[in-house]
Amino acid sequence: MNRLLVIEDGNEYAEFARLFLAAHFHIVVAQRAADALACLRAQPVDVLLIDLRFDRAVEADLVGDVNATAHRLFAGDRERALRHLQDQQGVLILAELRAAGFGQRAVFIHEFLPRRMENLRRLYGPVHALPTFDCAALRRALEEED
Amino acid sequence: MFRSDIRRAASALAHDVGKYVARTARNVPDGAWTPELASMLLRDLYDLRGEHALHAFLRLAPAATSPLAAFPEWTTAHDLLRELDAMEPALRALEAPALESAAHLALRVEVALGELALRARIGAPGRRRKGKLP
Repeated sequence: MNRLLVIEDGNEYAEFARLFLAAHFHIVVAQRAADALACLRAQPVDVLLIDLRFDRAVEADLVGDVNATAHRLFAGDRERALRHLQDQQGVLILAELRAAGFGQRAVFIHEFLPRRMENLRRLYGPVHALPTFDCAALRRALEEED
Repeated sequence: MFRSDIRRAASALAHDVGKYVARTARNVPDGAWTPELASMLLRDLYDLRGEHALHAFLRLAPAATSPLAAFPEWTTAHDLLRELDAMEPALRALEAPALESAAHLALRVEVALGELALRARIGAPGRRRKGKLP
């Protein structure tokens, strides 16, 4: 049975996966980048399901430097920088995983604009996105060959 | 409020409310409500990341202060969420017609908030105004 690593700051994706995908995947869960990397180094994982927004994560758990982001993008506004990092955390985590050599297919449940999707694929290889929690479509996205 | 903040708020509504409200509703096979599915629907509506979906909606886009409240899709979603809130006793009693009705309404909330996010990317409430936000 394929192994699915769910990466999210809550438990909604994992709960959904356990109810609708457990017959097809062995499900493991990580709630921040460091845990995801540890999981990937400890066991084989076939596919990644990643939440995009980590608005419940604390600053210490986020990938990205709030001060540097504030300086670079938000005229020094740390609050907006923190929100930005939380909003984009799933993609930032994916970048960390790719940098560490993990190239598994990654699936988001988010409606990315087409141009953003192209960029994500160009940068990170096999990346897919679904706009909704649709278990049949999600299963197809997780199982398709790239 | 910055335009990017308005877009962010609309995107957060679509993500944190619309997507999760419809999480179970979209996946119930032909009205076959198992206890697990009914329980997850209740969490989607009344324990959505720790709060009622209606409360999450109003926290992210308050009626009195959010520019998003000027959009018709905001009103549609708000009315649907209020209706869903009023259904809580029937849903907690696991009444099958109420579960079916709630699933239908939840999917409409997701659609309305998806349209709101799209409109916030484009601009005006009700009509396009060269990218201007309210």
